[in-house]
This record gives sequence, structure tokens and C-alpha cells, in this order.
Amino acid sequence: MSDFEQTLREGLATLAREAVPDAPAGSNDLAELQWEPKRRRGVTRVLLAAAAVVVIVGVAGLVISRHQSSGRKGVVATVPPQTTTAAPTTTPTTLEPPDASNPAAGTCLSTTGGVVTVTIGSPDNVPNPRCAMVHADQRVGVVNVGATAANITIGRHFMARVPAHGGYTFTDAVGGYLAPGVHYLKFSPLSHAEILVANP
Amino acid sequence: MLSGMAVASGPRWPDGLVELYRAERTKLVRTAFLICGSVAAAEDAVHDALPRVAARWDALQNGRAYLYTAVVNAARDAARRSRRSVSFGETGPVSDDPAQISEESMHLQRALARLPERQRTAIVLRYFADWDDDEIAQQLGARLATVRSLIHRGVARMREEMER
Repeated sequence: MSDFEQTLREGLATLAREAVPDAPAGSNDLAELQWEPKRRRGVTRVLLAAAAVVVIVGVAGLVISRHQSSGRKGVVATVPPQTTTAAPTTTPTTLEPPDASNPAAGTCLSTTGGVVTVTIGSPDNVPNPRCAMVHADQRVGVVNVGATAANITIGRHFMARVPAHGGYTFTDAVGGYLAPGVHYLKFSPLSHAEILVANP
Repeated sequence: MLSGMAVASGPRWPDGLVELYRAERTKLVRTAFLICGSVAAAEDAVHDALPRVAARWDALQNGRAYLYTAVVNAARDAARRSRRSVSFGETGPVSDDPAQISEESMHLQRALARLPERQRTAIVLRYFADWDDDEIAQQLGARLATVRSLIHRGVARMREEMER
């Protein structure tokens, strides 16, 4: 091995060590990661198929009803308006529905403590973590390591402007506003982090 | 004691993978970082690879090799995505906390970032991860001669970049 190759070997080791310092003891634990195989795809397909059948049957019924009405001379078609009435729920809620039911990231970082922090603004525009599991009583904080301020939103309630090299922590816990499921923490037109709101 | 390894809504991680992850996580992230140039993306690469490895764990003869292969693949994907979204070679150091990186290491990272992705991966696997030519050839899906050429040209280019 040449001198340069030896220098290269040592340089790579130093660079890697400086960029990724040794983790504190106990932090290399898989307990912080959620293994979420995408196994609900079949269920989703069944639900979508059922919804499609309901829509087709409804449209067909409407067409047949109109056809029959128009066939009677001098009779004004009186097709009842197609209205959808939400079934009353026992626990009225204003929680925002999730953007997705499963995280695309595959794994979601689960952390304890009151605030779950997501870092944005890296040059590759990839948030860290890409998916964070947040419990109803936890709040979301955002650290912006980028050189420009970022407007962030999670649904309609959580909106903030995070300055460059700054941070922002929402004052409200997610459970009061976001339904369980995956909500997008949007911070740029091209990228978002996933906030997996856990079931209570 | 593996308490807490499985979350309530997910299956249990294979015990062997838990041990392997504990032992290798830092080196996995470092390897991925050198390939893709971002600590955040490197951590994601490791996290993304884990479920794939876990899903096949029982059938694997060499779990460690498979884990490294999965992480390197994910890091290469991240590097290619990064190149599409920003000009990788012109951004300089892309570590999440450049303040902790010495000037000498920044210089090395800039040189590394200017290499084509396959050349960079070959250099990292040889000189950081200590893989031999056969293993690198398998990883890259290339012939041995191609790997040797990639490394030879990569070293030459690194030398040029470093002497600038």
C-alpha cells in the first residue's frame, strides 16, 4: 500500500469519526426503532375495492332513477338530492385525519420525553428522522440547520416559521389536533417528514 | 434481556439482529455517511435497511454481510437522490454539524464528493470498510477488473483533488 493510500485510509477514518462520533452507551438499541412492515396493503385494497363498489352502485342507482323519471311524460323528475349525512358519533371530534395510514419511511423513530424533535435544512433536504412516532401527549419541535428560514406545517393547526439555524417548538400536544396515523410535517415543496401519531 | 425491543404495534426484532445492530451501528452509519455525504441520510439508510434485513433474517447465512450490503445499497440510493436534488460536488461538506469537522477532513470530504458514485463507493468500501475486491465486485455488480480499475482511478483522482 502506498503512502497516499495509507493517508487516505486514515483520513477516511478520521472524517467518519468526526462526522459520526461514537454513540453513547445504550443508544445503539433497536428499541428506539419501530419495525412496521407494510402488511396492511391487502386490507387497504379490500377497503378501496369496497368503496369503489359503493360508488358504482350509487351512480348506477342514480342513473336508473333519472332514466325512469324521464320516461314518464309530463312528470317532473323528482330525484331526491343525493346528500351524505355523517353518522352521529358518540365522541364528536375535530381531530384532523392523517395524510397516510402507514409511514413510507418503513421505520419510525420513537422517543420519550415531552418534545419530539425533527431536524430539517440539511443540504440533501432529508429530515432527521424521516419518520418520528409521536404520542398524543408529546409536542413536536423543529430544528432548522439550514441557511434559510423554513415555513413548516402539520395539518391546519400547526404552522410556524423556523429561522435559519434556529428552532421552534409547538406549544400544543399533537393529541388535541391530529388523529392517529401519519401526518406530514411539510417544510419544503419537495420534502416532508412523517409524524406518526400513535394510537392512544 | 431484550425488554423493549418490540414495540406494541410491531413485531419483535430478531435477537441476532439486535446484537448485530448494537455492535455495528456506528460503523454502518459511518460507512453510509462516507458514501452519501450526509449523516441524516446515512442514519436513514441504516434505518431503512433494518426492516429488510429483519424480514429475511432467519434465511440468511451471513446476516452481517447482508446488513452491510443493504445499508450500502440504501446509501448509494441516497447519494444518487442527493445528486439529483443538489449539486453534490459543489456543496462541500454536508455533515449535519460542520463545526465538528476539521479543515483537513472537510478537504477530504470535498474530494470524496467529487468522485462518481461508483468510484466513491469502491474507495469507501476498500479503504474504510476493508472489503476485498470480491466483496466490492459483488456489491457493485461489477467484474473484478472493473473494481480494480475503479479503485485505481479513484485513488488517482483523490490524490489530484487532495493536492489542489
